[in-house]
Amino acid sequence: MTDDVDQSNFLEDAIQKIQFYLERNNLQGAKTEINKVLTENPDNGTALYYSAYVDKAEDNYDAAEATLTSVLSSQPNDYYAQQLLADVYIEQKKYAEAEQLLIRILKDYPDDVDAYVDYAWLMLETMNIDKAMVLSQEAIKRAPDNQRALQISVIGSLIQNGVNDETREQLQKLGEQFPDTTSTCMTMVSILVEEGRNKEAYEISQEVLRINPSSSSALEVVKELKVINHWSMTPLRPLSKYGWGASIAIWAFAVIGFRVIDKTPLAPYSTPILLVFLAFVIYSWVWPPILRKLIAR
Amino acid sequence: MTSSTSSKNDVTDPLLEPSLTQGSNRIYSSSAMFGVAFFGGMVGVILFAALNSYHLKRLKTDAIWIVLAILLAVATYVAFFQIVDADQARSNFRLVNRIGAFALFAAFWFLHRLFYRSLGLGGSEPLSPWGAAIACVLISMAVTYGVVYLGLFAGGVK
Repeated sequence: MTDDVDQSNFLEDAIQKIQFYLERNNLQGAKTEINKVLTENPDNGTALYYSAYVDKAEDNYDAAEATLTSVLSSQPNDYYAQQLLADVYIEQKKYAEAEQLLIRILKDYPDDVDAYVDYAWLMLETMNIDKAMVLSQEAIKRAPDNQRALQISVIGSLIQNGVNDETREQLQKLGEQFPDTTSTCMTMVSILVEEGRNKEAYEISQEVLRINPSSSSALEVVKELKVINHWSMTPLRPLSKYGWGASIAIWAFAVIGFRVIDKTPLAPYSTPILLVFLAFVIYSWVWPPILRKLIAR
Repeated sequence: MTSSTSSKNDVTDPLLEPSLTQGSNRIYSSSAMFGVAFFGGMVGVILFAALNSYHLKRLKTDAIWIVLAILLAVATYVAFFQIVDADQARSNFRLVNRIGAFALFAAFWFLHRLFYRSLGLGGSEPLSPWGAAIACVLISMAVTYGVVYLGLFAGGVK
């Protein structure tokens, strides 16, 4: 009897310590506690769940999947294990398996907002935009202030309609409700980039990185925007602003422009013009990747 | 959380029907299609766009546009060899083929614009284009040479 009480106290204490470490992102500390529990109780579902959680945080997706699969084989309706396994499947790009799990969760818990949001993200990532929008609306219906659901709704609307007054209004609302969050700011950055307002996008993304220095996605965005906004990229601005339209225009100039130049008073200068043009084209191919590497250092 | 706290969703909700059993929707990037348009011409773009439709599982929906694009390409080739003299045909064919390819690139980009926007905004990753792009360019070059041969030597040119 006393042994059972001791064991129960030990487990309770250890789980609290694991949660304490995880809340502070101390994965090593959490791992030590998890191992202590698993040495005593190799089948403890909670410790196995946290072990998979740490594996996922350390990008050991195969280990996380194996652990969660074993947890679900003994406790098939464990909600948290199912949810975490769905996240692991998404990271592994096993989208069909993730979808099956999320549908199972939604069938068991029809009002689970997190599952609706996770499913909406999955649909967005797999280009099922209409379904992502419907799912995000279902989540918003149940939790009108759910930030991730509102964010999916803005991104979906941006994909469906481009940048327009409605998207700007939705984003403004999101910004008012959640002014300091990374995801809101990154959505704003996406919209600014879509509009070609790279300088403002760069300033906001720098701010995001300052607030959240561990965000690898924010770091990548800052690096890319730093390249786009670098002074040496000024001659290439029209290319980044008008995209393929600008590339086609350059090609049209090369093919048609030079034929026309030969029939105008500029004909004697056609060789220097051609050389400048070729230098520009080579510059546009060669310089951006070099600059990207220099900035990445 | 336990299932007893909320009622189970026993009714078959169409929203809870799986969408990814046949694999997820993927697409080649617009850069890859631009490359195919530039090097491959009209036939290359049509093949590449058809592959995109296949990966997006909307080949049936897009079939009408793919057929229209094929008809447009055939009409362009026939009209070209009807209008242009034989001595100018060889040098101008590549130009016309490329202009047509860029027009088709723009049309197919518009058709699949939601999916291209998803690549940037929705966190989707593009398919690796190398194998498909090289195959489309090579097939397109072979067809183009065939068309030029027919046009120049089989009596197509006026």
